Order: sequence, then C-alpha cells, then structure tokens
Amino acid sequence: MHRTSTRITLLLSLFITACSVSTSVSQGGMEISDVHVVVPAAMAGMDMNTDPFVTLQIKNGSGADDRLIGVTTDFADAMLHETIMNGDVATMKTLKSIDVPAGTTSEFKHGGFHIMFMNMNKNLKAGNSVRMTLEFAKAGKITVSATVTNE
Amino acid sequence: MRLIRRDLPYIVLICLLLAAMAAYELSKPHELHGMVMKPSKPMPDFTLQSAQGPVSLSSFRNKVVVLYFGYTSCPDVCPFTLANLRQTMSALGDKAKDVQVIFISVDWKRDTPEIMARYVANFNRDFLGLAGTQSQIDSVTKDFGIFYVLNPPDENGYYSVDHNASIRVLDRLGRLVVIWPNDTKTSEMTTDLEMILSTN
Repeated sequence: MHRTSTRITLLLSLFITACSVSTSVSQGGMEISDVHVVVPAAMAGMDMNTDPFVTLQIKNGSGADDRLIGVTTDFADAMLHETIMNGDVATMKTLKSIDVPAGTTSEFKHGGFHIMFMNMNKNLKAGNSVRMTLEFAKAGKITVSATVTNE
Repeated sequence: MRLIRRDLPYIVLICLLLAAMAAYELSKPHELHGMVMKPSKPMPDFTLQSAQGPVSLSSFRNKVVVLYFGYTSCPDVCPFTLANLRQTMSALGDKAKDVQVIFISVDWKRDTPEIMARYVANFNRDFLGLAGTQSQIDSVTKDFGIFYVLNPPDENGYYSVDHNASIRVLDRLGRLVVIWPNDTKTSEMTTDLEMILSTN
C-alpha cells in the first residue's frame, strides 16, 4: 500500500513537472506554443529600459478567424507591435489587434509581429519563468508560461 | 594506353584552365558587400555631443569609422544591429583598435549624450554614442543620406522613429567607401573592414 501511494505520488509529480515546463497551451482549438520572453543578450542587465519582447506561435485550429486583441502580465505593460522594413527604412507600428486566420499558424518573432513589454516593474533574467495572458476576440483569455532567454 | 596518350593534350589543357581559374579567383580583389562607392566619396565633417563633450568626425582620421543612425528606444532593429557590430569588432581582434563605431541618435527629443553613452556601453565600451539638436541631426542626416521621422505619440506617450537602417563605412581619410544593408552578415562586415583597413 505504502509502495503504491509512493508510486502514485511520483507519477503525479512527474506529470505536474511535465506540465509546468511545457510551453504549449491549447484552448478552444487555439494552440499557443514556443513561448519565450527575449531579453537580447547585448541588453541583458543594462540599467535602463530594455523592452524585452515575446516570441511565440499561435496555431488557430478553432475553425473560425480570430484576432489577438491584447496581452497582460503583472510585471509590465504589453503592446502589440509590427516591425516592417520598407526597403532600407525600418518602421515600427503599434497595433490594436493582430489577425489570426482560421487554419493558420502565426509566428511572432524579431523583425515581424511581436509583443513588447514596456514600463517593466521587474528586471527579467535568463532562466526566469513568467506568466502572461493572451486575449483573443473569440477564443477568450489564454494564460501561458514563458521562459526568459537572451536570444 | 593509346587512348590516354591521344587525350593527354586535352587533359593538360583542362588542368591549365583550372589552374588559371584558381589563380584568378585568388588574385581577384576582394569585393566589398553592399553599395560600394566608386570612387570613395569625401564626406563633410560634423560635430555632435558625446557624454564627454563635443566630438567631430574629423577627429577619427586614421581610423575606419562605422556610422549607424538609430535611437535608444528602438525596439527591434537598432539593438540587433549594434549587437552584430559588437560581434564584428570581436572578430576583428587587435585590428578593432583602428575602427571606431559611432551610433548617432536621430531621436533628438529623447536621447541625450548621457543616455547614448550608457546605451552603447552595453554593447561595447569602445562604441561612441552621439546626440545633437534637431538642426544638428537634420544637417548630419542630410549629408549622409539618412531619412528619419519621429512618429506621433500613442496614448501612452510612446513614439517610434522610422529611419534608414543601413550602415555607413568611412575609410581612414574620412571617405565613404561602402553602405552595408542592415542584413549584412557579421562575417561579411569583418572581411570588408579587414580589406578597408589594409588598403589605406
């Protein structure tokens, strides 16, 4: 009996650990994966606003077009941005929402669509784990965990 | 055997051709990456503010100057470009002492010489950050063919700045020799700088 309960405890803790390190979350057909908060290596530890950004993938398997309309965290203001290169000119746009069409996978990354943290109230370091909530017009709010990296 | 003897002149000819092609490739001058100025273009001097006081471009004669225009609130392109330049300087080793990287802010509203100094020091302590008044920045950007515009602020007061993201390289005589597109690889920048350093 004692051995059985030990085994169950072990399996449960393994399951919980696996869930906590997983960066993939699904809800209502919307799958969020590969979530990372990037503090560029060159900026790590600098004593001024570093504006980290988020890289992630959103796979919309819900069967309906949707839009990412906001991101919230308890450590910063989050903004939706898009960097566009018009020839040699770099332009950054702040967006109210980002379309996530049905049946597509949208990649958020450096040089394209990205989520940027501003007005940070805590210094992020590589290896930290943070939580953020993505809000979609139809799928609602989805909370994900992300690891802070320097690349 | 007879076949080999008959083909021997052709085989020798092909070998000679291959050797000639290899010799040409080896002797061919290194071509710079990006938009190469032919001839190199003398550039007007300018004076802007560093945290330690006024600095003129002409004070870097005898050094190769790498000029990049951006701003410290730049979320994306500027930090990655400066990180690439840091990597390039590292790859140059001892030769890096003959190269001066200068980051000029086009965001004359927010960036001060002190902010610029702190910002560039996070990439490389030898990088120089310069700021100026609107008229000074307008003059320098016009001379160096840089477009920039401060966009209207959003509801949080944040504004972005559109700007050219290419990098200008001046030789030891202060002449513009090449403009690197923003996606130039660090290995390409390194070989270009080695060549520019060795030619004058």
